Amino acid sequence: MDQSEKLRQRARELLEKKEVVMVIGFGPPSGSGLSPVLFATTPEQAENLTATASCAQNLANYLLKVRDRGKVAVVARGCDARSITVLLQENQLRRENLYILGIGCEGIVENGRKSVACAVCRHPNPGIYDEMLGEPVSAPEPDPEVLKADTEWEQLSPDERWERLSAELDRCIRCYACRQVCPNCYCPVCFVDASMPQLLGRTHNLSDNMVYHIIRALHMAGRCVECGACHRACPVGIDLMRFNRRVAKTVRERFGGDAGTNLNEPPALTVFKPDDPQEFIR
Amino acid sequence: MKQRLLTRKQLNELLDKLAQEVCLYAPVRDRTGTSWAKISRADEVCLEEVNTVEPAKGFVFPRCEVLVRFDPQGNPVEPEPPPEQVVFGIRPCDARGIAFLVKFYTQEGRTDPYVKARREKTTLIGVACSRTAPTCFCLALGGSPQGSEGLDLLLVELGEELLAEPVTEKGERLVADLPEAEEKHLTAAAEQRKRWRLRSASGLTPRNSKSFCPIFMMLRSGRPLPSPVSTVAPAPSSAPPATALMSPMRRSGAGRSGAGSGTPASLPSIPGTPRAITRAMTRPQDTATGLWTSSTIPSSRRV
Repeated sequence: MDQSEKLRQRARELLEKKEVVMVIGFGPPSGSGLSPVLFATTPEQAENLTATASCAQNLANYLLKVRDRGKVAVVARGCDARSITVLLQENQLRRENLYILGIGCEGIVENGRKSVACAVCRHPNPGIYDEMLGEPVSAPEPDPEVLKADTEWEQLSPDERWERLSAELDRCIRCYACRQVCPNCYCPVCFVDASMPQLLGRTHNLSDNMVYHIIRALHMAGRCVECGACHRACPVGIDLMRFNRRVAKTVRERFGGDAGTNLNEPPALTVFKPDDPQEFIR
Repeated sequence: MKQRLLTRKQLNELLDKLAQEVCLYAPVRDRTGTSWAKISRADEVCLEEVNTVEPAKGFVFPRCEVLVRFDPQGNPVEPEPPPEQVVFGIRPCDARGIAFLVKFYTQEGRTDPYVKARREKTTLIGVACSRTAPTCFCLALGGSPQGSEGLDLLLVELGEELLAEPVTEKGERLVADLPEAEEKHLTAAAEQRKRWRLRSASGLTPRNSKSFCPIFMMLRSGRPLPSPVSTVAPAPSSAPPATALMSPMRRSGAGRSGAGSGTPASLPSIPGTPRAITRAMTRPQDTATGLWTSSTIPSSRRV
C-alpha cells in the first residue's frame, strides 16, 4: 500500500471513530507543483489527502488556530514536527490534543527547484509522532552551493555584511508574510503592531525594516526550526534563510542542540547553565 | 473620443518624450518579477509579467507622505505639491482599484485633499492584459482584462500595433497627433473583449461575489458609503485586534487635518497647526485591546 493510500485510510478511520475533529494535511499538488494545505473534517474530505510533502507552508502554524476545537490530527514532516515540539515546550499546544502522522520528507520542490531550506535539511524525519506512515528517509547531501555562499558570507567583514544586509532588507515591503507563515511567531500583539506605545514606524524605509528584521531574528534565535516557510512566502524574494541559518548556527555552536529536536530539553535561550559560554561579559 | 493607432516604435518615442518632460513610472524587471520604478528610457519597461509585485496604489495614496514640516521656530511649512507624473503599464484591475479609492476619498464634503491632488497630477496609461495569471480574479468582480475604468488612456495590443483608447481628456491629449484607428482594428479589439466576456460567463466568476468583497458590492449598488475611518469610533474591546489576523497595511485616518473629532489624544497639540506630520505616524486604535487567543477569532476567519 502506498503512503498516500495509507494516509487516507488512517485519516478516514480517525474521523469516522471521532478520535479527532480534523485532519490537517496536504491536498493534491496544483499547477506550480506545490500542495495546498487541506483541512479534512469529514471522511469524504480526507479522500483528497496526499502524502507528497511538497507543501510550502509549515502545518504547525494551523494547529495554533484550531487548538480550542479538540483533538486534531496533523501530517508532520521533520520541520513540522520540530515546530510542534517548540510549541509544546512553550505551552502553546497540548500533546494529548494532537495526533501526529509522521512522514519522511524528500524536500519541497517549487517551480522545479528544491527550496533552499530543504537543500541543506538536517532533519527530514519527524522527531515526535504517534505513528509513522512509510519509511523514514535519509537526510539529503547538503547543497554545496548553499554551503559555499554561507561560508563566503561568514568571511565578509562586519561592514561588508552590514552593507549587503542593508541592500537586501531595503527591498522589504513589510507585508509581514514571513511573520504570518511562521508557526513560532504567535505573539497575541506583535511588537510591530503595538500602538500604545508604538514601538516601530509604519513606513518601509531601511531603518524601520532593519529594526523589524533584527528583532524578529532575535525573537527566533534558538527557536527557528529552519523550515523555510518565511523564505518561500516572501513576495520580493529576500533570502531570509541565509540570516536564519546563521542565527541557528550561532546558537548551535555556542549553546548546543537544534531547536525542536528534543522535547525534554528546553530551547537554548530560555535556560541558563553555569557552563554557558560567557566570555563576552567583562 | 477618437481611438488612435500606434506602432511599437511610436509608443517608444512617446515614452521617451514623456520621460524627458515629467516623472515617468513603469514596471521594470527585478529579482522576483517586476516592480514600479522611475524610468528615463522606453527600453527599461518590462510588460512580460501579468502584474507587478506591489500594486500601483501608492501613486495616488502613498504609504508614507509628508503632510507638513516645521521650521526651527516651530512654524508649519507647507510641503512641495506632488509632482506631475505619468504611470505607464498599469493593468486594468489596478486602475479600477484606484478609481474606487479616489471615489471614496473624494466624496462630497469628505474630500481628502492629498489623494485628490495626487490623482489630478497623475496620468494613468493602462495596457490591457493579453493573458491572466492563475491568481487573477478581475472578471469575478465585474472588471475586465481590457477594462478602462480609472484610466486616462488604455492601450490594447493588436499584434505589432497598439490601439489607443483615450478615456479622459488628459489621455486624449497624449495621443492627439497619432492617426485614427481603422474599422478593422476596432473590430479586433472588440473581438478580444468578447472573448474575455465569454470566459467570464464560463465559470471564472466565483459562486458568491457578495461575500467576497462587501465594500465592492456597496460601491456597485450605489448605496451611501460608510464614513471615512477618521470619524469611526475605536473598536470595542471585545473585537479581535485586526492586526493580529491580517497584515496591518490599513491606516487610520485619525488626526488628518480637517478631521478634528477623530484626532487621537496621544498626539501633541500645537495650537494653530495641523497635528499630523506624516500619515504613517497616525496609528490604529484597536491593536492594544485584549489578547488574541484562538477563541476570539470570528468564525468567518477560522480555518
